[in-house]
Amino acid sequence: MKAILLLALLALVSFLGSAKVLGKSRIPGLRLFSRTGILFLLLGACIGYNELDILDQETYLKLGPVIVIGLGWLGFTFGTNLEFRTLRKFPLRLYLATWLQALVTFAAVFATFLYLDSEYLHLPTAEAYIAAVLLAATAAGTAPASLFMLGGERLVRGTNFETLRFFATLDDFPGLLALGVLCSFSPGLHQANYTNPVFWFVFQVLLGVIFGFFLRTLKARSLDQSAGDLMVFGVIGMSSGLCLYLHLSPLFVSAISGMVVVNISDRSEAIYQRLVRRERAFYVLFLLLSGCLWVVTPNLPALVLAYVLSRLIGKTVGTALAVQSLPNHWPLPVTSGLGLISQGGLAIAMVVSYRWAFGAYLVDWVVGVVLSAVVIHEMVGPWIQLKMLQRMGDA
Amino acid sequence: MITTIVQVSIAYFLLLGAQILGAGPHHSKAEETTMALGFVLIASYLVGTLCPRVKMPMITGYMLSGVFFGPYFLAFIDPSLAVLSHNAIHELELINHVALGLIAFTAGGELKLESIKSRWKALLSITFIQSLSAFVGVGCLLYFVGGQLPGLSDFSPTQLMVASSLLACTAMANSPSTTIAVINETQSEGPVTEIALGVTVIKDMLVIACFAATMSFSRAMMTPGKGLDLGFALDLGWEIVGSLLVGVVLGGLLSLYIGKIGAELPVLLMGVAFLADYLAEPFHLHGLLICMMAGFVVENFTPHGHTFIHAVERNSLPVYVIFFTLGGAQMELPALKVVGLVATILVAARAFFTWLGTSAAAKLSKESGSVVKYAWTGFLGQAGVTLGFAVLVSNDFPSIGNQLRTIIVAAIALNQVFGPVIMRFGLAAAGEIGEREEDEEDDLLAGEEVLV
Repeated sequence: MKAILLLALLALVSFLGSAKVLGKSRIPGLRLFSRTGILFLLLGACIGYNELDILDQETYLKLGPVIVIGLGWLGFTFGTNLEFRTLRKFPLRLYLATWLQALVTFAAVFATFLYLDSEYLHLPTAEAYIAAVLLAATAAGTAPASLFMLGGERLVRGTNFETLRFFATLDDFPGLLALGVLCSFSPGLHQANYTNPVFWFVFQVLLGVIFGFFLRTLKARSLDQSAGDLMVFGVIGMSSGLCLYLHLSPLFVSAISGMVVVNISDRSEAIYQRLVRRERAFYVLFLLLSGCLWVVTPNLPALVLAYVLSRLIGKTVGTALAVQSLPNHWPLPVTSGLGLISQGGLAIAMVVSYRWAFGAYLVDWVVGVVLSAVVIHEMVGPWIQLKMLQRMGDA
Repeated sequence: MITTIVQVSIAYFLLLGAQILGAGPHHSKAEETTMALGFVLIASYLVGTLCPRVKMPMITGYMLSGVFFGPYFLAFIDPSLAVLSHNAIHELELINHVALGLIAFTAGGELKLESIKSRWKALLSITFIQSLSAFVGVGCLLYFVGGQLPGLSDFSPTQLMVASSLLACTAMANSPSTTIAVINETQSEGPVTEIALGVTVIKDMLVIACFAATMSFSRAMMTPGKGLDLGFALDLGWEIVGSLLVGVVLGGLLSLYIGKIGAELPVLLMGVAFLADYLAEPFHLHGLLICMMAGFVVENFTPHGHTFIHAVERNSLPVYVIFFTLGGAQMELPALKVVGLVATILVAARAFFTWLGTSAAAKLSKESGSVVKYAWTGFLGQAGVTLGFAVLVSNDFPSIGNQLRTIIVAAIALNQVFGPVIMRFGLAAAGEIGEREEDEEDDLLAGEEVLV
């Protein structure tokens, strides 16, 4: 066992080395792999208790706080994107278009998996709905990372690119909302006295608001940078732990906290930059540990295929419909949905969040499907986006 | 002050509210632990910020917060009021071990070869004379007056001799983590700081040797017909030399990694700190020593010292907050009630003989007046190593072990509360607080983005 741990360390070092090498790869998907840290997801899957068992279940559970805080941190980071002062500058139609394509994708994946769950997998009704909603929620969003990478490398620029980036930044919102609703409805685990789903949904929103204001009052003190980071971490940790304790979604609640903080703070950009730069270590650990949940079942390839295809159809059709609703001076081609297929940390966080809060109600393959799909989408997403934007003249 | 109390109270009542609302059987350990961890980060830091106003180091505030929210203080009113339950403390042990490894990296990295070269006589003489003074002084005092003290009075003469030597041995030990935390927090630099750090690190090895020798002597005394087992010397040699060698290799590998790869250094250091501590025990090595040596090697024998220390210190604030809060929470308050008098005498005698030995050695080595007067203040804190020794004593000597363990634990609690306060006072009196030049922010991750 101890020797295996040493091997694990060696594996980690070589993995970090390969990340460095991949970062210079000519294939955009591989570059993205190294930059987003998805490699650590694969490493986690290999060394986790479902495969090689180098990171055994006991150690994994002891590292639970890292995952839980990671979930909160991801939600909080997403929430800080939703600053009304900036959002107000964009026309309402653009938001409606963004959410329309997300909702169509949600519907496509939900319908596909509700059918598969009940007709082929014969899941009980509650589990079938939970699996379908969760998969749909993860599918609705787009990870903006690959677009940011292509933009950052100056490979693409232009109106189409900017519009896609807008879609990708905000289209996780419906999925996150669905997760919040799903947690409010999830059966059996809430206190008998408080079974009303509406109560729990409102409670989640309130909790997010309270922690947002609480963090604001803490940051109002004259804190240096590391103390400021500590307070953010503390509040995210406390709210995330509290959410799981009450079987709520730390991701959803922290997203609301992030939204509140960024809207009542006068240094919103600084908060976001610090969050994404300083705590990379935490994110990497989160991915590593999330990988441990990856269970390979015999029907996984077929299910992943169903997920990827239904999501692709949803994104393509959804974006085509969304484009129709935009004014004429927004010349986005109807095929531009292909530019929104990348998936990332938030999709992983949604499924891991639910797994932690309601593990008993979630079939293992759901986690496997999402993790596999994220890897596939990260791999091919940037290449497809680059090709598509080249055709649109934005490269 | 009022704002701080209000903020801590809000956090506390949010936590209590959740516990009431979510009371039930369906809770995993991770939920409670994460909640407690988040609360600790907020509350302990806020309590810590009050301390400099009364000339106390912030780590004392973290520890007092740990005591207050730990499993004894509030639990005295109602067990459900404690935030850091025994269970949460146990679950956070893993994070605690990582923290200890990172602190040891810092301790080794802060130890500069030039400073050792220029002060080696003082470092060695203070280490040996002070340790001898504490061991002989405390041992003799307890042996001669122990018969009159509650807690030791029912021991036979042989038991009293063994107890005195074991307690005297604990009096030699001090806490590298406390020393490095106070130095870092106060940004101190100067002769007293250098002596405190250097002696603490060297003494860590000496103390391990003395523990082993005293244990062997005590076993021989307590078991009639059993001679002195010198086999401990071999184990001891392996523990110290082996740890130092592993530390050198680890330092070399870390340096190689920083030079060739360099990516995700904070993650790697956390992993290494965990593994060093985790793997040390089955191989009879000393995790703290391994990490200290590795830090020392990277800082002094490779060009990557600055990058290394910066990566370690990026996480230093949460590390200190968690580590010292848990230290406070683990203080067994009921022990103080039972053996308070003998623990107080032990603590006072230890402080006196530490002062005597340090001052005498500093004078002999012709050190400056500030070292003679104040260097002893850096050697009062006690923590992990001594606690480990207490557990060994309790296991190896069933007839007197539990009683001794209680005394040692109570003495650690007192030393850990007063030690950092006195050390800060010493550093302030020596004029060394705030003397360290601030490093420019070396933005290790500049240009890197977390793309979610």
